[in-house]
Amino acid sequence: MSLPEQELVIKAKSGDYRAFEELVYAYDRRVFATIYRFTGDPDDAKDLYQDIFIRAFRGLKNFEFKSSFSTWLYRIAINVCLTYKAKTGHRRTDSLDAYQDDEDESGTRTQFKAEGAVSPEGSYLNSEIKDRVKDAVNCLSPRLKMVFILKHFEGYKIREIADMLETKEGTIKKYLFEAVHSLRNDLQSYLRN
Amino acid sequence: MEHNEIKELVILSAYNELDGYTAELVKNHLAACSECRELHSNELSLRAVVSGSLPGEPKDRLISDARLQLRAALRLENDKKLTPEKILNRIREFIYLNYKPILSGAVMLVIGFLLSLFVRLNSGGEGQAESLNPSDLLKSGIKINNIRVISSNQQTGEMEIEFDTQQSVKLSGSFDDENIQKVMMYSILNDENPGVRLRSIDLIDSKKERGIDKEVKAAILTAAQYDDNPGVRRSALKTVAGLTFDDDIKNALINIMSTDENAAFRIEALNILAENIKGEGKVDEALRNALKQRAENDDNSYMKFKAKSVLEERSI
Ligand SMILES: [Zn+2]
Repeated sequence: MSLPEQELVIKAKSGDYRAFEELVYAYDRRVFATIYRFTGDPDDAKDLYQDIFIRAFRGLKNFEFKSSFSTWLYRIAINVCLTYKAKTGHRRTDSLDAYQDDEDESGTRTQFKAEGAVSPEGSYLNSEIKDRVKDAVNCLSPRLKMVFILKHFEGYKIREIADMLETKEGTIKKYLFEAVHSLRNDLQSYLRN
Repeated sequence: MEHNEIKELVILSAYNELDGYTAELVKNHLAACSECRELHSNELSLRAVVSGSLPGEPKDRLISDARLQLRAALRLENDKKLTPEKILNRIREFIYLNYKPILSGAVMLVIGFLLSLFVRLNSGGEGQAESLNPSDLLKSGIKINNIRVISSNQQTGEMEIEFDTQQSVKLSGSFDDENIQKVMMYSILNDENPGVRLRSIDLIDSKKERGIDKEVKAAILTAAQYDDNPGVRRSALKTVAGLTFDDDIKNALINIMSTDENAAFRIEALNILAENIKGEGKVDEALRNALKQRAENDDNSYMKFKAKSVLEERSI
């Protein structure tokens, strides 16, 4: 039997961590996907995940239903991500592996197919592209990168992203254009013309 | 549409952010302008390249790892807040600061407060800072029960266990004492042990003719609707049947009738409702809709039949 969200929030506000866990499970997949893409590292994503939800648990007493719970949660997630510093000199050395959790059930790696970008070298170029894309995305400022991920991967509307970042829609559009221009410049040689 | 304006609109169009009218304008412009068409195809290509290069949806394994770690952290967080000393202090405040002289018909309550403590036994080096030392706990004489293993890893030997510790606190006071009722309400809503929740409800049930506090009533209604434990829900529902019928009770019963996973409780809720609306004329809309729903969709055939017959009796 699951309680309506508002009642769960009220229970969780009073410190009921079981009610809080129920709330977490309603949203954590989406939050995890975002931070995983943002950090590009499964272990860092797990650390951030914990940080985000513990902050949410502590901060819940100040939540006053002025926004939806999910928007409020995303604000925390975004703040945590924007202050995230990639841990240096660890598990990231094999940068490609950090990204490649996309093995299918049979254990074979899913081949990346970008139309018009496949070369005779095949998989060699594929992994080169992946590295270049990752570098290009990581070159974006944290804010641009976050907006780009929320839009491109999570499919949020510009209006919703503005709400999460507590800024104007025009600002989010500006960030999105900047991000796309920067990626296009960096990746021009891999794009179909 | 101006050629220069299109560039940004092409991006927005690729992200489905244009209204129908503007999307149409862009489409028409693209059909006529090869330069913008190239930009558009470039944009789609960028999308494909980026989508294929960043991680896909995280695997279930990653999520469940993250949840397990979070669960451990939340329990530690919870234990930081609810130390035995803090609970005792809370009780002392009830008793010593607000205590009024014992009235006639005093009842004695013994309520065991169960604290969920989390212990992490870790053979590795990290993450030990907040774990508590089990031998200190044993020396303290606090009773430990209900030990369960949350997770264990055969290879590393790392495991997480959780158990309850119990301390008894005695309160003396009249049942009419607001503080006594508050403690019981607290116990109904927060105690982790269903047996304790059940005893508190039964105690209230046995004293309900003396009148119960508004908050206690709300706690009983919450337990009847949402307690995880069917025994606690049953007991709370029995108590609800004996309370003076009002809108809060009606709404709670409608909710139980519509959502409880146990058909016996749905039927019981319906019976209590039917009993209490006997004298009235037509039933109100919320109840009528709920009854209709049940008559059409309930899994249980008796429930369907019963809901239908109440509706028929009432709609005359
Ligand atoms: Zn043009």
